[in-house]
Amino acid sequence: MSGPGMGRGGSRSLDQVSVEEKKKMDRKALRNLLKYALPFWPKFLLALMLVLMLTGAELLRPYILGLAIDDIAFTLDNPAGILDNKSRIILMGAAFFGLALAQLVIGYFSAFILRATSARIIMNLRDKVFTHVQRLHFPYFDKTPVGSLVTRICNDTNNISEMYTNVLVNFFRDIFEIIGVIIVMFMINTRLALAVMVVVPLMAAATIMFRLKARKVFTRIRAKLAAINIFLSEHIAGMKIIQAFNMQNAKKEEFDTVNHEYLRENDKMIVIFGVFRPFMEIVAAIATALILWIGGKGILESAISFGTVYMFLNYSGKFFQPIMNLTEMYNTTQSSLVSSDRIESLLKTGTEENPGDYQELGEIRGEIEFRNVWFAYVGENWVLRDVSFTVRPGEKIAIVGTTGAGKTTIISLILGFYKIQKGEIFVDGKPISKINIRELRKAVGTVRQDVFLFQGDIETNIRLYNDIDFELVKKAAETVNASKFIENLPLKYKEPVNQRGTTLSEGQRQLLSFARAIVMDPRILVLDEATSSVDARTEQLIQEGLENLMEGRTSITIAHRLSTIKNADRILFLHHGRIAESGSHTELMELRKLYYELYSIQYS
Amino acid sequence: MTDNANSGEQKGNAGLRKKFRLWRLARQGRVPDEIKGTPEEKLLKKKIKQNKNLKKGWGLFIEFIRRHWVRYSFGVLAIVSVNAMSIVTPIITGDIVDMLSDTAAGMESVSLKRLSMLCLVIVGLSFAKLMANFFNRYLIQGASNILEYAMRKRMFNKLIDLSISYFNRKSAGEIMALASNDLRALRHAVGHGIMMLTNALVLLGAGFIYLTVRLSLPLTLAIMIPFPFMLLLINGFSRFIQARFKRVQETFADLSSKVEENISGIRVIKSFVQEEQEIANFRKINESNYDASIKHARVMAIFHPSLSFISTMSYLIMLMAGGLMAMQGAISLGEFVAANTFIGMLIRPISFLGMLINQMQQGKVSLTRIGELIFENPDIFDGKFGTPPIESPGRLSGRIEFNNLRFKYPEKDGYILDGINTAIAPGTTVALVGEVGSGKTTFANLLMRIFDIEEKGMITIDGHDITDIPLKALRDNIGYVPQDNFLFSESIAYNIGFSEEGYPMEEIENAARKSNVYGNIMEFPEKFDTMLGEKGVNLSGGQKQRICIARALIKDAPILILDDCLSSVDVETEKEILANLRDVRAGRTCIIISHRVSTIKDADKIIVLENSRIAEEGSHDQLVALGGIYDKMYRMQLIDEIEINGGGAL
Repeated sequence: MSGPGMGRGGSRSLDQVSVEEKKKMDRKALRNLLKYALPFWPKFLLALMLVLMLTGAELLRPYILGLAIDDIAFTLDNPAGILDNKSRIILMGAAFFGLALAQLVIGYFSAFILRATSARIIMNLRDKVFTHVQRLHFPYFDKTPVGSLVTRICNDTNNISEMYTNVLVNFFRDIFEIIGVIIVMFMINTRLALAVMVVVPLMAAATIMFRLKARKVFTRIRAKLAAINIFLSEHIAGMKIIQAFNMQNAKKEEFDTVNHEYLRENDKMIVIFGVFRPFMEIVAAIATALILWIGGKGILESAISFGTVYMFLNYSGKFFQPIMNLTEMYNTTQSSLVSSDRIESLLKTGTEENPGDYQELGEIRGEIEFRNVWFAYVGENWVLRDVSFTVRPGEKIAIVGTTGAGKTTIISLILGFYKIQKGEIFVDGKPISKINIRELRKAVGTVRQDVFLFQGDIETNIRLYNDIDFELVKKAAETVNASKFIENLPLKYKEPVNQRGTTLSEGQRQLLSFARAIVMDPRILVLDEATSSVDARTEQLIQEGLENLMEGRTSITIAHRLSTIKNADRILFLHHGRIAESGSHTELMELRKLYYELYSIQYS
Repeated sequence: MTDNANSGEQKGNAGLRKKFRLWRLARQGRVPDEIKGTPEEKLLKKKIKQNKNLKKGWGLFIEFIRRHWVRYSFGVLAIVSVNAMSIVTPIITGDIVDMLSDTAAGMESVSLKRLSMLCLVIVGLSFAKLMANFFNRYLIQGASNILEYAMRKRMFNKLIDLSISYFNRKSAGEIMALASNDLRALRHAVGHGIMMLTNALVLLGAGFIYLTVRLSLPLTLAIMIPFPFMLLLINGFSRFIQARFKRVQETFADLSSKVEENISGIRVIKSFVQEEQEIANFRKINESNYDASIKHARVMAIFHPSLSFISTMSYLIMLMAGGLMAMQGAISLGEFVAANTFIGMLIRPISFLGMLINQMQQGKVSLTRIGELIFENPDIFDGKFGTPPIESPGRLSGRIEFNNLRFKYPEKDGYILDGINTAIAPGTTVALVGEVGSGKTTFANLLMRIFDIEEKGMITIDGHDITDIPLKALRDNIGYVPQDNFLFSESIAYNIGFSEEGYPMEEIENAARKSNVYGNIMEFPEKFDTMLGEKGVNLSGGQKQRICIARALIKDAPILILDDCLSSVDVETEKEILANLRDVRAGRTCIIISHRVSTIKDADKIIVLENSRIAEEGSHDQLVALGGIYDKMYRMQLIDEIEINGGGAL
């Protein structure tokens, strides 16, 4: 996928929602994130326990060093005990090594379990989202750009993985560490522990201030980077126009503005970080000074040992780091939360549902009836008004009419892509709303104006992923005249095809789509004839192919070719969403109305 | 089995040797004769070019540093002082410890006084550190921000001057990745790079000196034993991790292209009830992505623990050896404490140093890629064929001649135009028809020099060879309406008055009237200030086309090219636009490319293209009388256009 920061097809921008609403959304998103992880709770529990052990080991290390220091100090005062203490140092060294080894092993397992589990969660979630998208009801695809669905399925799920691998665990580790350090410190020495705690409010105040400032600037930096990306993608696309209109210099200036705004925001970030980080060091220095001062006094009074002071110097460092980490977690969490929110709302979108008490279609005859059908894509914008017609099994129907008369809509309705508002559509006398939609679609072969090809080869593009014999694929190709060009390809049916089908000509793609429509031997055909002109030879092939295709099937064709119109048993003339005229070519010509007008304008 | 393995190994060795030889040759920048014509030559040439780009990119970078050397010097100075102050704290701590352990009975109050003072020094130092740290960030990272900005600016300025053939070679995604990912990698390599490098060097140096002076050389060296291992580990691992991460990214790319295909083809998939099969296909790719992730997870999971394990060994050595030495009084207690703190201070820069090598490598790759763009040259420029462009050609009259014109798109086989001979008289209207891919748009591209002719003399305008007319003047003399009706996400007024000088509002309105879009524009609440595109309204195809026409008309150029630009407007509007254009066309050379016969019927001349050649040429009546391709097309199209030319309404 292309560059980061490209908020394609995004939900609302974060600035637009109120803080309250935002918090509520975050909580919900967080719950969802936990929900995805729930089935894997034993793994997470295991990982958490390992992390807990790691934290313990981490806290033991300064303790051992502190003990060593006390031993040294003791030896210095009582040189007689040196032998004893030597062996103690060796023992401590062994413990230290053992601890390091344990950390190595536990560290590996905890990290691996988390990453692996997270990868599995993401895989499952992606699977779920993809499966859901396959079943979405059709209008959703009309209003959603392809890019944004791709982002949902691929990138948003990826963003979430960050949550499980880094955020979740680091969060617990940091919390464990903070709590652990506090407990250990109070256990060792209350006075010193209290001294360290004194600086906590200072740190908390600084952190909160930083968090608020940084969040704002981060959002702006992201927005500015997105602006650069949008600018670039638009201007790369329009490069020819820019050059044709000699606009290079003006555009350079426009880009400089966008680029400069990004620089300014980045500079602000430097200032914020440049103040915050060193400020935290001041806080840490104050803590160090306090420990040394109180500890030093204690040493002089022989109330505190050197080792204790050392431990505290060490622990105070361990105390600050996790708190700082926690504040920086906010940014990673944000993108995960936004992504999970988007995924959830996609998963809530309605799917195509089959009626509970549907009727079996069984062996289909191929009769279609529209009875007083009214349909609008939006509101009361009727595209079809009171359309009624019946197509008998085996009949060839051509639909003719002006652009926007509703021709393509009729085809979409037969395939059950949209729900009609009034009236009913019957297939073999059964209302379409009571038929298993997938069973119906299996019985209908379709050809669209723009042929969509899949990455793969010729064969898979004809049979798709249906389990059919190769012989049948070949037969289908022969029936519709596609075999001639296929046999001429170097690898014949195994010739690779890329997604845009750029290696094939317009006409070849048409023929391929005919073969695809017929290979499952459907009783009903719905066709939208391509308008693009092809050379005369191909035109001939296509015409014959079409005739063979329709042979013995019920067919409804949005017709553009004269031959198709003339070969039709009946022509429906669609006008403003109504059927204005219907009959054979000769009948309609004799009627001397709209169809006749249209026809004669062209030929007079 | 063993044989196979052996031969495989040999092959691997031979491959490695070959690779090395190529690498050496590439460094020398020469192509020996013996590999001419082999695939190796291509590879080598590519490598040499890459090296060149890297060198040039490196030059750019050095130049930048030189220009900002004051900034960088002060920045480095700031880092050094930050580090110096960081080192002082553990030393003070050590001294405090020593002072306390040496305090004799009765001297407590003296020690306490010194203790308080040293503690204040620690706090005071941290304030000084804040200042130095702030300057360091501000100077060094600020400079790398400027570097990013300047490089991006340079990239865009180059980009916009490059010929269209470049954009056909490179996808928008690639270019955008350059402007965001690669630039960011470069910024990190430079900003963090300098900071980390200085950090590591200063800390290591100072640490080494302190430890050697206060402890002993052998102990210091012993403590530092794990450091080179850390570097090795980081380096070795990062290559391993990168290789596995690349695999994750590859499978991810497969995943998104599968989803992209699926959603784009959802109509077909649903019509043919392929959902379940698609889910199964997707699952396979999803699983291979999972497998790659797991492999990546494994190395990632082992990396950090092993790094910290090795670094712990430094502490261990200090604890054992240092501890024993302290007991024997070879080093003081304070020194023992200070040395322990020092180790912690050294380990961080060492791991950074490891990562730095990594970041530098990424920066190098990015710099090469960026260099590739910045040092790319446009294919089309003034004086390309050796002759200087004519001075001030002024307003052309628009007499265009094609002499044996032939043209082939780069990276495509076969000529799209071959042996074209024709002339267009000034002030006449010529229509180009022909099937998709017959080279109609190529005419427009060549006339505007979006692509360039192969040899001089193939196209002349007003008797000048087209390449002798300054590029800017040539394009100023042509009004162009593109096929894809491209508009910018700016206001309507901006889009119509699309020029560097700008136009007064009246002219913009006039142009909108002439192209029949004025009424539509006035219906928008913001009228001419209406924003288009993502942030604004979505226009219909027909409205877009008419705004594109207005944009071309406002130029009042002697040559007007309309590339299939009325296809999305309805018949009534087409008629009106054509009527308006009739006035505009007077006194201008007008080239109309179209599929619709109604659009071109009354052109002075119609040129029919077929198989890269002019098949027929003449007026509508002449061509219909000829009964050839045009006549056939005309009749076929009349049938096709039944529904289009029909009812009119809707």
